[in-house]
Amino acid sequence: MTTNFACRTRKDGAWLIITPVGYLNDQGGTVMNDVIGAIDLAGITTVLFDFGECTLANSQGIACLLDHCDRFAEEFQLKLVFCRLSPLLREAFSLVGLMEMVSTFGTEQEARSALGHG
Amino acid sequence: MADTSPERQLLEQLRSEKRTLRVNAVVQLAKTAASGEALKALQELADGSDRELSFFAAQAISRIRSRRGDARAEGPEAPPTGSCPAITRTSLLSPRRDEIEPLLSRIRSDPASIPEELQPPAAAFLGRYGSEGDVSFLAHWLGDGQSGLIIPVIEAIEALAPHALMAHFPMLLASNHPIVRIRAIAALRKVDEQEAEAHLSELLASRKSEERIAGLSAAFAFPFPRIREYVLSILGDEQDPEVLHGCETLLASNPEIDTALRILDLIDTVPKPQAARLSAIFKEISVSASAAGLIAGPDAPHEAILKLWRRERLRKFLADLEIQIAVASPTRREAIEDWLAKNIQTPDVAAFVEKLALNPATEDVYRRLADFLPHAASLQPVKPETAPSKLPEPEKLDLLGRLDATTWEKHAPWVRDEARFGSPATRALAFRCLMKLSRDAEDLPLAESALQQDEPAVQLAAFILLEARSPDRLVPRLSDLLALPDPKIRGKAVRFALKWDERKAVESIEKMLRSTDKTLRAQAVSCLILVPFEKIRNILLRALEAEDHPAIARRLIVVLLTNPSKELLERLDKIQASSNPGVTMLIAQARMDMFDTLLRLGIDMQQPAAPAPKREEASPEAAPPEKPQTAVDQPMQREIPKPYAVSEVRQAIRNRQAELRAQQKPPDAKNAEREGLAGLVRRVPVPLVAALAVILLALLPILLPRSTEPRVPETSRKASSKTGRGQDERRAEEKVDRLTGIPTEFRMGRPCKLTGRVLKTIDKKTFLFESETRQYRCVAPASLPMLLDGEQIVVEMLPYRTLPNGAIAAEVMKVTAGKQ
Repeated sequence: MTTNFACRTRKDGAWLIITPVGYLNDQGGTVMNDVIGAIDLAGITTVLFDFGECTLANSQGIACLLDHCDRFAEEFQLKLVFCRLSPLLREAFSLVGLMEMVSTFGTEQEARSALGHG
Repeated sequence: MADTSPERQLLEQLRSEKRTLRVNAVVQLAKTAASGEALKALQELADGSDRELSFFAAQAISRIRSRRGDARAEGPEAPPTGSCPAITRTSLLSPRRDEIEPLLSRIRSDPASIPEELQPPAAAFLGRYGSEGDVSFLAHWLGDGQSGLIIPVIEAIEALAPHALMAHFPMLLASNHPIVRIRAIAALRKVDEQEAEAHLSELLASRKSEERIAGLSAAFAFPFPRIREYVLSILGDEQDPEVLHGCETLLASNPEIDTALRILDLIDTVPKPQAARLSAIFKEISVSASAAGLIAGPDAPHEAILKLWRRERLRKFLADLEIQIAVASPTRREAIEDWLAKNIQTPDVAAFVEKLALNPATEDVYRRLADFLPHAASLQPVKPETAPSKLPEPEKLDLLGRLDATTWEKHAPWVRDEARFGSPATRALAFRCLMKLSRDAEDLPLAESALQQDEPAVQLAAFILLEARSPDRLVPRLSDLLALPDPKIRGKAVRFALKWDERKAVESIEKMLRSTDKTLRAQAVSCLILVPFEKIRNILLRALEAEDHPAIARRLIVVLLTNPSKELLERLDKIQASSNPGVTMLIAQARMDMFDTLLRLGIDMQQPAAPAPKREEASPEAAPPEKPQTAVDQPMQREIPKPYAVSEVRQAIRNRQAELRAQQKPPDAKNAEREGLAGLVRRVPVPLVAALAVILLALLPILLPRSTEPRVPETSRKASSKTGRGQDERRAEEKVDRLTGIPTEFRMGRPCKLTGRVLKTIDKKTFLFESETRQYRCVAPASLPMLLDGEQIVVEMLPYRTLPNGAIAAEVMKVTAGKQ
């Protein structure tokens, strides 16, 4: 099934910036799996998820995101950062314990100022 | 000293920006005022151009004069025609005895000829002197769009033939005039108190402050114990000074020690600015409780209640605090921690903080507060002394981190010893080494044993080991694992359980959800959010219907809001009150949020307000329900809803909002929507349409050609701010600062962030400020940094009153330098 969900990624030094765009549902989760699975994490120390263009994530989308965060943290010991979270995403992520795994900031710039540019 | 008499307050309310408040003040003055000053103020309104207010004011004047025994003041109105008195506002509102019959005859002979401006007093006149036969033409006037006419007509029909209102309740309860709605609620209360309360809770949960104010004025007629719960649930977030004043009046009018104690509970769990607002209300209620003889003694009333609270309520409050910490937002959590730190010398609080260490969900709070504990040194956790290696801890961790296949055999026995007897950190790392490097079956019972202990990091590592090497061993323990307080292990357990046996996993979680232990229920919701939504929709709705703890109800609502659909909203509509009015309010707000989300997705939300009952298609649940179905399971097998039921009236209001929104859209957008999304909605499942529409909205800023000044389209901006909102944001319909969430345009009675220049600095805390065309007199709670006249600044403020000189009085929250 096709979906209009998109997942943009870019590397900036030791930072990997992932920008989900649209409704992160089960199909969005599949797209995210494909995109993230293809990324070479060599040299990456910090993964930043920018949710500015994704204000809604359903149960399966959240489960998928949790899988990725688990993998980043446990297998690769990467630092995880979320920014531009809508209040509902913040609440939903808190429910599943995601907020305890990540640092959150208002914007990417704020995250970089606080954590160093990498 | 300022005159704070009730009449003075009502006279001040006459100058409020909120119409509902002005009307309410007029009505109250009619009941209580007797002064010349009140008459003068009301006369100004009666002579004003606002026809509705003019009528209410004239009616009030008539009542006050009658009470004072004043002679009827003839206005500049039409002279009598022949022997019949002229139909004038004065004659209708204060008829002489000999005028009553001729006036009745004239009105009845040709009601259509009554001039529009005289219809309201004519309705009031008929209500007092008419008969049931007059109701038929009075009912025609109910269709009028003006509240000034509808109110006296409702009152007249209620006086003459109350049953005749039944047919009109749906329209009246859906009115866009708050005062009409509250008058209809008052009338409905005499017929069906439960439905009337449901309508009242909708008003109180509204994001429009005028509707909340109206709800508060109607609330006086309902049993106070129920109303108190609604009001207390408003107070946590309410910032509108006039709504707060309404809450204060309601609570202080029904003084109860328990109310004051609960406000104290609330004060200590909200951010400081809100705590200050609530403190003022607390003091008012304390004074009121003292006046009612509920407290006595040498202390000031509020001091006496504070003592009582410290003594009797602390333990109960602390018990609930543990769950609040686990689910609180960061700001709220910070406020709770501040409070704990401040009170940690109290033995009960110290014991509570120590207890937090035992719960992984609250352990971090304990760690931050441990140093403040009395005898902190003696409370440091005792490290096990049984580690076989003599290496210090950091070196052990370092060695464990460096182990690989080549060094494994040499260190394997030591690693197993560490996994068994080490400190939590070394045990966790030892299990990770075992998972990575060992294939020995001996590891498995070791990991099983670790799973049953209470150190989350160790449990997590043991879980990962078993999941990778012997998942069968996890299965018998899944129920226990799903109930663990640590969200990371719980999350892993849920995902594992779903892969292993989805049906049993859902059953286990549902069982937790039915527990009487609220902590277990809260954890169950955290599990549910990871389960495919279609499998748990009914479970969630059932749980929400039964839930009486607001924090858990909010968790359930978050899961529902992340999976919005038209069908879900319909199901949510049918959920009727839980035992806790606070939860009822949350549900009402959730309905509004979901409706807004769907509306902004472009989904057609218009439908008949009272559809004929039909049988719903079988829902695609994983397993058939095993217990007798509740109303949530069988929405269409219920009785046909009453026409004035809150769900029916809500649909009428939604239709109006949907229509309004459709009218506000440019024609091109309407066509595109009709042919695009609406067509899709007809052909494909609603959730899929919702998903696509969110994506389209999110992509709008990219797809639209960019102007020189990047500008987010209105629909997109609102969609993004509305799909997920907190209580405060829900109430902000306007432009919102992206980072702070504060509206960037002026709104009376709401926080806003305005850019402008300093006109004049008055003192260290006060300055005059100009933004766009408005001037503000800004007062800060503490000294401000030095401001220069003419300086560009950004002010976060709470405007609360228009001053006589036209400037707006505002409370300053923050001042920052503006861009030059």
